[in-house]
Amino acid sequence: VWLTPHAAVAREGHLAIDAWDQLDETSHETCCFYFSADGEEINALARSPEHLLEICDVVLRLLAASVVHSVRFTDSTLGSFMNAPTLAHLMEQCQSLKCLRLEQIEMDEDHFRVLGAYWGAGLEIVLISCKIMSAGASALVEVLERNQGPTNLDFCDIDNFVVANGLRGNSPLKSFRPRLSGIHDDGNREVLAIAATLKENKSIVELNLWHDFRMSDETWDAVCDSLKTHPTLEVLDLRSMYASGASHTLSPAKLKSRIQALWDMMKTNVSIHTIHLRDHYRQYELFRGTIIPYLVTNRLRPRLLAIQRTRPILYRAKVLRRALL
Amino acid sequence: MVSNGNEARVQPHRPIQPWRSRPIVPPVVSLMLCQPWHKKNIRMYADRWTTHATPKRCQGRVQTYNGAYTSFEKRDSISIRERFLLGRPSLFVDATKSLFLKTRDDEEQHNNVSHFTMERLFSPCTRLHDILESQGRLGIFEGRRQVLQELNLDVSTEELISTERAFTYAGLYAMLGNEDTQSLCG
Repeated sequence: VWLTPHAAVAREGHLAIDAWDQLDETSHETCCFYFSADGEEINALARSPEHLLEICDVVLRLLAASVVHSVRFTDSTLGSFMNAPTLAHLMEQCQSLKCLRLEQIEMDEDHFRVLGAYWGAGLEIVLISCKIMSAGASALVEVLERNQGPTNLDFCDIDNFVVANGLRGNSPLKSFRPRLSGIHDDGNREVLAIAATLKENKSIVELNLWHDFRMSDETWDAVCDSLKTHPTLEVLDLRSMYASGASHTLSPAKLKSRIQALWDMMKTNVSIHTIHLRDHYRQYELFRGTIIPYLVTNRLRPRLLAIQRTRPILYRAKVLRRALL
Repeated sequence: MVSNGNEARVQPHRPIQPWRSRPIVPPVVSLMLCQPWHKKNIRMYADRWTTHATPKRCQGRVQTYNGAYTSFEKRDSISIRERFLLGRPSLFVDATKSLFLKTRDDEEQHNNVSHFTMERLFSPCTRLHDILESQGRLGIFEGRRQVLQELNLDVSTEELISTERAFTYAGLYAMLGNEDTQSLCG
């Protein structure tokens, strides 16, 4: 451990982290920032945000001078220790960077301008549980519209009505898990806004609409309808925590109606191969008989297309004939 | 302070002035943010060391907070890594814990701190050694006396992150994980 009276750095899992808590018991809350570069994890600990800022700056400057491919920054206090100039310096210096993960970072419009400016094909930018301010949300949409910016948005605290506008067209965004409101009306409105723009989306591969409210039939149908012709989506998560209690289990008629909506979606969608739902959907015979065959077909479709591209029809006919005989 | 092991200096044994002769230092003395002004003073402190013997194995002497001398063996000049380790053995010792907290309080409460801060920041290991010795508990570090060595800071933040030094994140990671590293020396 590297220790000063106010701050320390130590490897993840080091005894010093517990010791720091013991040593710093007079402080109400220890400020922590976690660094990880190519799997090498270092924790910065401080007794105040000011001291944490100082020590983080030193580590970040060392990081900027390093050759690393994957970095992750986690702010345990959801603070702003990764400011935009620091992020810009890091991205400018770390030309070898292939994956940037920001967790629990407070982000504003300047952060997204930096991400847009230094974004390049092949760079994976993952934002997890970040707090994105209102101006930051608008800047994120602008960046996405320019086909730049994050590739993953995972459970970030952001205005979903604003970020929904960034889903139109083609963008680097491949994985999207919105943090939906737990209030029924608000949650349904947010999903409806997202579904409205998903129709025009051409890039998302994984969509996770995990929710903790009672999704209305109208919302369910809107989601299914928006994905009927989606060209890239492969994994869809529609699980609900709200329906976990017996009193909230859907009636057979309602369950059938929802599976029918999924079936209609799968009839035309050629990319979705995985749908995560609660168990009572899977136990329903209609689901097993209608949805699963489409999912299997879509799962095997890339393999089929690959065979079609590599071998002529005549050759394939001969192989089939040999197999049948 | 020379610290690369190849420059073990032989100095005449000279009387060491008490702490009060040390210049006043600013209240916040952060090891990592040690600016040249601090460094100069640290060098003065470091110069109080006397070393002799071979470059690979030499004898160190340090003045304790109460003016006495403590001797120890060391393989090389003192590393910044060891300096950073100063709190580690003491984390489980109440006396040193209170010393740590008091040092911090001194920094905050006394704008013109001086020898107290300097003393406590740069000699806690020696103090711990003396405390344990007075309590007859020094045996708990039997075979690991090096953790009680007085240490020497010879790298400022600017030097640490300078292009010339070419120190990297991986270097820091290795330093934090290597108990015996002296990677920042020299």
